[in-house]
Amino acid sequence: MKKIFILSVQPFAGKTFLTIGLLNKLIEKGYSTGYIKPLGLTPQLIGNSVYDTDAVLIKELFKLKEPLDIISPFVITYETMNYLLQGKLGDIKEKIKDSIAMMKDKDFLIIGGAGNLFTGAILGMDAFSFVKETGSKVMVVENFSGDSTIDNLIGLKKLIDKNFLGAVINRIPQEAFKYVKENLKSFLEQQGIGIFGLFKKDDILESITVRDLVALLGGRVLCCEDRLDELVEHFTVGAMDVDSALKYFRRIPNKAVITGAHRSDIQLAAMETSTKVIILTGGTSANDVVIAKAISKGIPLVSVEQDTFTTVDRIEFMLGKVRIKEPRKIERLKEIFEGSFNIEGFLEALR
Amino acid sequence: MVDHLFKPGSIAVIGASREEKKVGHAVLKNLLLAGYKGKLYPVNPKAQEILGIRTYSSLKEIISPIDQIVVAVPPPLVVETLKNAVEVGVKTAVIITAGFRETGPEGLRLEEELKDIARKGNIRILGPNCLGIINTAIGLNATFAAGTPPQGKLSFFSQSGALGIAILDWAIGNNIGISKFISLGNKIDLTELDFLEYFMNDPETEVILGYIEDVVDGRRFLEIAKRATKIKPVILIKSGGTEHGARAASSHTGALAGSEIAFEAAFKQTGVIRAKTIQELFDLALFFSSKGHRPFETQEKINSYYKREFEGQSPSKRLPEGNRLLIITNAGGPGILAADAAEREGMDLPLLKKESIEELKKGLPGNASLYNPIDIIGDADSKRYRFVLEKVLMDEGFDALLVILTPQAMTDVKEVAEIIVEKAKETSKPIITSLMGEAKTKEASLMLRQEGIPSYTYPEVAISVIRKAVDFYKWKNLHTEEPEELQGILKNKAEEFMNSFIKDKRTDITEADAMDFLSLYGFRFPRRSLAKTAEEAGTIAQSIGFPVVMKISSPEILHKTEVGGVKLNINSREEAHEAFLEITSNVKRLFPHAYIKGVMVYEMIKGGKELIMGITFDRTFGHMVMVGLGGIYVEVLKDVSFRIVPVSRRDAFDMLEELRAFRLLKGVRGERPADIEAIIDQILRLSRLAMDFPEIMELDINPLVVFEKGAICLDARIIISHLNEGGNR
Repeated sequence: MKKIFILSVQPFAGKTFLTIGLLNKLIEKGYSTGYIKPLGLTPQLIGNSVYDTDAVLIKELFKLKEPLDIISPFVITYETMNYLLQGKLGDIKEKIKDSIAMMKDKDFLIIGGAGNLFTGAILGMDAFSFVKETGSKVMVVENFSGDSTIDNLIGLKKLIDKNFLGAVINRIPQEAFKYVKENLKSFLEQQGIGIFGLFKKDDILESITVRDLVALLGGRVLCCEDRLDELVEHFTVGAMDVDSALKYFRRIPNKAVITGAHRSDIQLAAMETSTKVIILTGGTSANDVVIAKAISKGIPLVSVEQDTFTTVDRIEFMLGKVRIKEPRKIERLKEIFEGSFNIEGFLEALR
Repeated sequence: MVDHLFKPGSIAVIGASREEKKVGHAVLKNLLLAGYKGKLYPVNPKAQEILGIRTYSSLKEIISPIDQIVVAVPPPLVVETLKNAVEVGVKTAVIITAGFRETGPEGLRLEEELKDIARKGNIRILGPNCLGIINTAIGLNATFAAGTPPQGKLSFFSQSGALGIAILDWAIGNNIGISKFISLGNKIDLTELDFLEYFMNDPETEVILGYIEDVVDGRRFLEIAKRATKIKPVILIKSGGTEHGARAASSHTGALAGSEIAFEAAFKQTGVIRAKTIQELFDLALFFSSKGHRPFETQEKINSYYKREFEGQSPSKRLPEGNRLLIITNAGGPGILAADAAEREGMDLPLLKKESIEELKKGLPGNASLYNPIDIIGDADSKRYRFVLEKVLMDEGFDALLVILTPQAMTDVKEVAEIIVEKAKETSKPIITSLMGEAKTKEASLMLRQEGIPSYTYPEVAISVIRKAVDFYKWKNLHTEEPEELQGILKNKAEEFMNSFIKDKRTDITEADAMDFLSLYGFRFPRRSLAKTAEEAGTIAQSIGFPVVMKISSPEILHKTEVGGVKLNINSREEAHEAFLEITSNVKRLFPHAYIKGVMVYEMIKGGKELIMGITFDRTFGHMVMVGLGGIYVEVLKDVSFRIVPVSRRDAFDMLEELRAFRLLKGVRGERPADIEAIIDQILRLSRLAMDFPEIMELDINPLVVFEKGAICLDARIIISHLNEGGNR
């Protein structure tokens, strides 16, 4: 069994993205492929046990037979953390190793890393220790960050040494793609760092559903309840005059517009462009004429209590941290992987 | 179909009521009082008879055919009523009932239902939520306004019912004749465009008036208005021209109107006379509906006008053919005020011929002013007015005459008015009057209006009206221009570029990409090349020739100068070398993570005058071309003008002439003029570009440097839409 550990220098770099993509590719090629998430950071209650959200999603997605107790052996929660601090928890490491052992008949085991390089150090399970002890090969997913991407990858290769398998670079801006492909990639490959995928920044993958947005903001939906599963890719604030707003709105597809409830002009301008939801701040409702128009256009209006500044603040906190879970995003992920991931190169490197 | 609406042979009033305060009562009463000549059927299941007419319990009970229904029942009943109307073959429905889209989702749903029934049942709808309809010629007053205006030649459509009522009341109070009146309401079927087109061809309409908050289809509006204004004056009020006004309009109608600049351009390009206030609408209506200024009386004359236009003759005798205004006054102060107003409005105050002045001198007191304004002194009696009118009318050196009067004790206002009426018959030039005051002048003023001489209280108002009449005359006599073929356009190649931008999902096209694209449409840019090293920068600079300009090239950095990303006037290889290092260091310091393509080295352009030009997209009228004064004061001076595409050569010239900076272009203090033709060429190319590539939502060329010969663009930025908003290529 080949063990592949998915790692990133920083959190929210795209580990779940790479995990799902790899699993999908390997299964498609007919390999028996298992998955575990040894250390969970985002708990989700299933029945009366807590598991990692990713683990729950991936088990469901690939119809994995192994029970969640094996796929997600341990999750850091408020409670487990307290036990850890008090030294009252049993041998987590053993539990995890047991999980891995259960998978021994698979061709491949994808091991989802969590957080950053040091996550899990409290259990003696930071990425470096884990990889060394389990003899996993490391696939790095790197969030493109200009020239520091080069340093990050060279640095990791040096630290992980012979267990370093290769990397993919994620969220590359359209403008920089040519440069990354022509200059950066070949340079890294000369340094012995296999780059198996270059992924452009993708609006759909970065999107959030209107429903999740409403939950995040504690909003009240005024109309178009049936449109809450639409994906919002961008956020804009409408506080300018309506002509400027229109110019600005036109450039931004599939967006949420945040504006005051009294700005009926901005709300109508938003409806004339590609808009998935209009968030009315300040707690008041919209004008009847505007609601009628929103219904005819199928654009939900959501009233939130907080002011525009607070609303934007909450959204900003969430940006870049959205999870992949909606079917449309999974489809998109597979599409991107199909076109931009070098599976043959990856398998070759594993041999 | 609109004709059926105005000329129904029979009407059923649905919701006719016995209660005086109800709309259904007021409508029936108005129809009776106005003397409607067709058959009238009140429908009310609970009444036997209303206002002395037999009442029917339902539409189906009426055996004779019904052309029109006027509906004043609560909203939910309107749907049923309309279905019944379709069944019995009604042609048109005037739905006065309110409570539809304007009240929210349920109202909107009902409205959609009405639309559906109308479409399937082939019945045309006015409204809902409207005041109704008037056609004085057949005694049709199916409104709930208080009273019916006298019959006349003005026709009016209004997006505001309440404003319509005010206008009708004004017409009644001032004895102004109205031909047709329409309150548009929610416009679910018939809109301002239908009525503009109908009034244009309606022989009973001589002047078209309208109040609009938006138009449903900007392109069609342009097309119809352009034709209508060649036949008769179209005077419109468009509200919502300010930010707050527009916001108020949007929550009134639930729609966003086009921008103010787009409406301004639309009115200029179609010859529509724009009234900024209701007062101005009245003032203009008064002038254009005055008998003496009636351009056409019948369809025959309209036809003959077209014929005459082809022969190049002037179609109207009572419009000022130029801006030369002669003022006669018996009051010094108002004369001076009038002269001020005339100059501000761009009117010319010519002197009469020497012989005419000599003639005047013989009959006027020594202290009279013989020049323009001609001041015949406060003690002038009617004889003196007669004398001066006789003399000046023999002179041909002016286009319009303004007679001012203030009522002194010795002034016989009525007699002067009669003399003006008499003399007006002897001339083909328009005469307009300003009888200042109220108690002593009111009666004479009304008499003048009756006789077809426009009369205003204040001379400034009279002059602003004349100005618009001059512009209208000019407009009517302009020939339409055909679009020009432009040389050196590589459309196919440009399409390839655009397709690749769209494929890459790019919205902002800047720097070299924008320049390469625009070059294909004949826009010239400085020679340029991208340097990746300081060494390369030196070599490129040398091959371009010194001096050069160097700019950071990075899609992420928009304001290059502000971050030290621009160096001008580089004169040697060494300087280019240094500039490269300096620019890249500055940017790296301020934008450590920005993706940098390199440093662009440009040929440096010196001298010339800076303009800006571009394309914008308006939600109602579509693409517009803009030109204005460039340089660092753009934001402050806002000296720009706009036209909707396609822009003709004349439009392009008008755009330039409108700029305050036009005088700078023509050269000041001995400067040589800038190449106006070259600017016009660039404007026409922009217009072509906007038509060929509707995905362009915004385009800025800043600056365009114009020389004595030729012009060159220094920088450009294009915003494209992937949503097909501008239309398909």
